[in-house]
Amino acid sequence: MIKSLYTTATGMKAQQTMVDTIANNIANVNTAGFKRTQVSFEDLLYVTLKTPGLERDAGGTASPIGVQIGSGTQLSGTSKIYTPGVLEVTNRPLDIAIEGDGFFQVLLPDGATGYSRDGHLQRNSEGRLVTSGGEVIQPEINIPTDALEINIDAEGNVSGRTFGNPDTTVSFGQLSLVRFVNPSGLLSVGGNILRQTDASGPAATGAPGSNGIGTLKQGFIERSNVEIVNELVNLIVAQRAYEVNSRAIQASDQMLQTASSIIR
Amino acid sequence: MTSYAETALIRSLGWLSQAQQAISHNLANASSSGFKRRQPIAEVEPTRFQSLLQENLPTVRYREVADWSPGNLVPTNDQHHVALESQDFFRVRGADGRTHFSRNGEMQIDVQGYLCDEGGHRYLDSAGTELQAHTEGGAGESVAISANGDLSDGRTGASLGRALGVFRVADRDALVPVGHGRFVDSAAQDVVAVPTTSIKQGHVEASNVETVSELVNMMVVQRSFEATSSVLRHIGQLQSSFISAVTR
Repeated sequence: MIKSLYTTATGMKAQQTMVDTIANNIANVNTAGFKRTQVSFEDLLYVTLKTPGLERDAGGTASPIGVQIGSGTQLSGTSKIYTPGVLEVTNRPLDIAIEGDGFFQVLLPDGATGYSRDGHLQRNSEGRLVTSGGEVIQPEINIPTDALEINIDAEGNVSGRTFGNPDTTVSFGQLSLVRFVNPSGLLSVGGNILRQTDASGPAATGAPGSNGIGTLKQGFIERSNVEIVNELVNLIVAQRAYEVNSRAIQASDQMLQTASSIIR
Repeated sequence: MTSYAETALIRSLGWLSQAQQAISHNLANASSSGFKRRQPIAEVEPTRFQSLLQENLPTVRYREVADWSPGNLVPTNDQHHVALESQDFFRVRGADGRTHFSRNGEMQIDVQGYLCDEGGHRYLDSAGTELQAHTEGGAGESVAISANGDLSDGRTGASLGRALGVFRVADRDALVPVGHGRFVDSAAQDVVAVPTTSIKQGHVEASNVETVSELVNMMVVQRSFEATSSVLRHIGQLQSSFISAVTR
């Protein structure tokens, strides 16, 4: 029974992690490009007291089943679910949504490349395209200060007319996207930025629209893929499971009390 | 000297505390996908306690089996999640080369593009080879899995020429749980790949633990424990009053 106290404690800890994750999902319901996190659990190691088939009865037949005592649950992983979020019309020329699996590349302050699906872009003081956090989009796109308009097509070509040359459209550059074999293996570092890991595999770069890498949509923003109703249902489930596990701790405790009252 | 009654009652207390451990384990795994609840069973110990007047006096012993009833299929809309509607198993192979049985269909993609579980064990096809869903470098990131396990490119619909294997074992009770939702076959039975139409993509089989019935089981165990221990206490009092009566 001492063991069962620890076993139920693993269950309570698991449900706590679940609530923490749901809280983070709900908190990010309005974060552009946010992908919901899902936690999964697995059963912990078993202590085998008797291996099935090892014991034989008087007639020599092997016992069909053994005794394995389980010891609870543990977190097996948290994974980002990369289903698309709803595309919302903003009509802002620098809001770009990715339709399909792809990520923008950004230059992080430490010189490494980060990846993001947040397409709420800005121009910095030097005219470069940056994220809301100020990280420069790679490859760098320089927009002249006298640009009259900015057009971004599905293949990522950025073009427009300038005040100095109002009759012809000039190209400002082309955006590229990357994709990963296992996007769930990317490391979230906050600020809508993800980093490459050994689990995600290397980034494969390509022009938007090539190899199913996803196309761009100007004037749209990708909302978070968190669905409040689902999250709330999960919250209820987690809370009830937490309560039930705490009941099991009480029951084991009372049994221990009963056992100790045998001697008086 | 312990009497037969005391031995039998102590064995019974041991059984009940192990049953409580199994119930705790079930409740802790109420959210582990593909988990099968553990069912405690009481058996008569074949080795008898002693022969008093040529009578067999049995004691209880603890056994545990998995309850193979299906869990609810929960839609997750994740293309890498599959659930099995039949009573069969997937097979996964770890980096050490050992194969395990599993009903957990929360699949991931590893760096080489293989379908694997959270512990990195790769799913096998019906011939027992590891299943690659994507090629390295990222071509064909979306995968569709049909009801019979065939893998195809989710965008173009082109078949990948590979299929997820589903396996059947004759005696499921010989499967020993090793944690992480995986089982090993302790009886080394013949494993046969079976044709199936029961794979559901985008679903996960939830744990088959029903918290209400586990709580009822827990009440029964708790009350039985109280009753057994109070009988044990009364036997002790009976003996001490008997001793004091004789030695007075």
